[in-house]
Amino acid sequence: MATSSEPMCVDERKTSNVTIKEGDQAILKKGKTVRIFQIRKKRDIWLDKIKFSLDGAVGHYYGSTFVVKNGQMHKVQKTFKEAEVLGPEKGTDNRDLHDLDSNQKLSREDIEKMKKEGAKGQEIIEQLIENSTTFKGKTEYAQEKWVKKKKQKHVAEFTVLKPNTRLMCQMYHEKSPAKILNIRMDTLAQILTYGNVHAFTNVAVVDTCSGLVVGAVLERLGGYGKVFHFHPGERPARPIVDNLNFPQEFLDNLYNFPFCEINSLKSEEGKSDDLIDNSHGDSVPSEGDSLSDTAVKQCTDSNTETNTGGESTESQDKDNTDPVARKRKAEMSTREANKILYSKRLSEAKELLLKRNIDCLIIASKFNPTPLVTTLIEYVAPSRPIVVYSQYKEAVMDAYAYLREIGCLVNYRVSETWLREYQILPMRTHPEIQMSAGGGYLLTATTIVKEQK
Amino acid sequence: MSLAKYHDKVKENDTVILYLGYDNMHAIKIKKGSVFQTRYGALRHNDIIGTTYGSRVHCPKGYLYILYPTPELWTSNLPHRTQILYTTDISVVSFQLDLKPGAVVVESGTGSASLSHSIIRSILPDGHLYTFEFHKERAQKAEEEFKDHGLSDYVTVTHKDVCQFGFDLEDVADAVFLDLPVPWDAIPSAKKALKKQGGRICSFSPCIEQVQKSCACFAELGFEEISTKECLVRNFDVRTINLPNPEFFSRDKTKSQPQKKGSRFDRDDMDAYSEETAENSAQCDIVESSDTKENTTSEVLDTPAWDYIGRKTAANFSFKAGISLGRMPGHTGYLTFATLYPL
Repeated sequence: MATSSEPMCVDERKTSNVTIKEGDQAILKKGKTVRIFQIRKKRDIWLDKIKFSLDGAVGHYYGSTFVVKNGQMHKVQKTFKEAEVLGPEKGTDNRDLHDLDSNQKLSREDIEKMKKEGAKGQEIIEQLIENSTTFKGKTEYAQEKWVKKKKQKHVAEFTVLKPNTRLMCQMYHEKSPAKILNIRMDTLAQILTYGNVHAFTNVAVVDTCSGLVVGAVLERLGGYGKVFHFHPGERPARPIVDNLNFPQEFLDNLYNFPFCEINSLKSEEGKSDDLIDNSHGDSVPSEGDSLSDTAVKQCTDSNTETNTGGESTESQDKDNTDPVARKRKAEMSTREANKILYSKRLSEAKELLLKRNIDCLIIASKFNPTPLVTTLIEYVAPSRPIVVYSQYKEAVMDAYAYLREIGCLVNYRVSETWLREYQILPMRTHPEIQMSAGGGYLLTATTIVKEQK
Repeated sequence: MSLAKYHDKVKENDTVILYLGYDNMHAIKIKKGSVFQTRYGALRHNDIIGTTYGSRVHCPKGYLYILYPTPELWTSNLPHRTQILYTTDISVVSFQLDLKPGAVVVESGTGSASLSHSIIRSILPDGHLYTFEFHKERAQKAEEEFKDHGLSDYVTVTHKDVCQFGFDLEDVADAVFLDLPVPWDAIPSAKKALKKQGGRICSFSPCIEQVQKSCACFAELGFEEISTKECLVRNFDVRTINLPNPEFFSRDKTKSQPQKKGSRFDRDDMDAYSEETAENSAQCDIVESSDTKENTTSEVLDTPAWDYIGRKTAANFSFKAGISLGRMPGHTGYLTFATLYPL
């Protein structure tokens, strides 16, 4: 008795998102090794001590597996299963097995030679098995584990994946957790859910975790709704948002808000003009930064074209003969344009925030959360969630105490989540030997209509 | 009303969350003329209609807050028809299945639709949830609730036993979620339902034996990155603790004061200290009691810098602590995730 609701059709744009294209940010995964690269033709990259170009990946589906041969990627079918290379012979236990280097008859040079000659991964493993004096004496389980280990080492197969929040969080958490303030995936998951982050909500985020939280929020908004990124310094550092490769429409909804502007926001009531003030000095975003404005990008691009000898505009005719002066003039006009646009965006953000209808406030920064949450809570609508993250329970408790004092919230909860992974294999099922020691702490609560005292 | 989009004022037929205090909430559907009995007395629905969400509403013996129903608040207050998934697991599932606007998700069984509400919230407006439930009344109840909550456009409820008959969907889903006693019976059909370009799958099972069989089935069918996790939540009660310093001498019997127990742990009245609605709640009580205790020796001791995590007087060591008391959820279920890559 199905109801008659029909799904929206998957449009062209979404379908084309699943093929690997030049210019894409792509994740290369090999076992536990996860690295991100931008796909640029004829540019070599290094991964797992192998140098190769990514050209061979272009045009295939994300999720495809490739093997590297002679510096090029070639698509392959899925890798062979461990069980396929095991013979019938196996032992019962390890009482007579000795762990010696001489157990393996093949030398490193032999293996390298095989790889150079283009031997397939499966062949190499089979050769290793043949030349191992102890292999046939191992138990079946030990054999499987051994083959798995050899595969990791000798078979250069990578899977190319489209970056998303889950993979970025995993990558950073394994390699540079400090850059994301040790936010573990389950903690980030709680932040997004308790914050009720979804399409059509406006979210204010204080993020000093390389843009992980901003990126996660943008992903959950899907282009519907606005994000206000509060950050220290003049320009936000959010490499993860760049890696996530959002379409420009998403980024147009992302507003930067430097901390140094917060006080002026507080005294802003009503005023909205004349924000081109010099207090933030040379605030022009340089080329390498993520610009959240289409216009700014176009401005920069058109001026770059002027630089490289295109049409002269404005008053550059006079300096036709002097390329240095011409370049400097072009740069200055870019700076001017950027400055104007930056101010325009900032005043837009202030106007929106002053409506006091933010639907969700998330704090995930290295700063003391208390002044941030007590200040920014002003701009959140009533009956909306706020989420404060800190690596430190004390910081979260402090925020809790101050907020209780102010009395603008109900349904408080201070919590942490605990994550455990399992190895599931027949007769070998148990929790993993190591687990994460901590994933940070959260304060969640719901705003209420502030009573006039 | 709609869980999809916030709106400002309470209307008739809205589902609202009444917040009375810590661990004390109710979900009610607003109907003109209805009355809801609370511990603070009667609450007339007419009094709520037209108020702003987040407002305080007074009852004869106290007050409460009207909150907008988010899927999380709904999960905490929905009528259970089955055991449900709680927000901790729901969060991890949503995250690991890469849910976002536009995603198409297949789910079985619907159960009490706790997870369903959360999925829909994450994938709207251009995504869709196909949810399957083999119990006729539960399927109907879920459909009614989705309608009540303004979510019908984003979900299709089917009364069907997918373990026997399959999903009958092909190449549509970005993600599949299974909460079934025998998930391996549905996994082949789930694989078919997933898009050819690949997708994610999750199976939730309370028992490790079910997990073992499901994982074997995933591996056999060519799923990869098979990973089983569990996530537990630990809540902290934030309180000021006073630990009295022991006395190493005997007091004169006529002047003796009975040594009060250090912390507020032992109060039987479990609700009072965490009460949110009363402005000056037990927090004040604790502070007060510590003041009276310190009457005799109230000077703050000079503590070395490295020793400072609280306030020390001759009589006490006071500090703010996050305490986990009693029991906490120790197990809900194992979450097994896997990826299907394109061929």
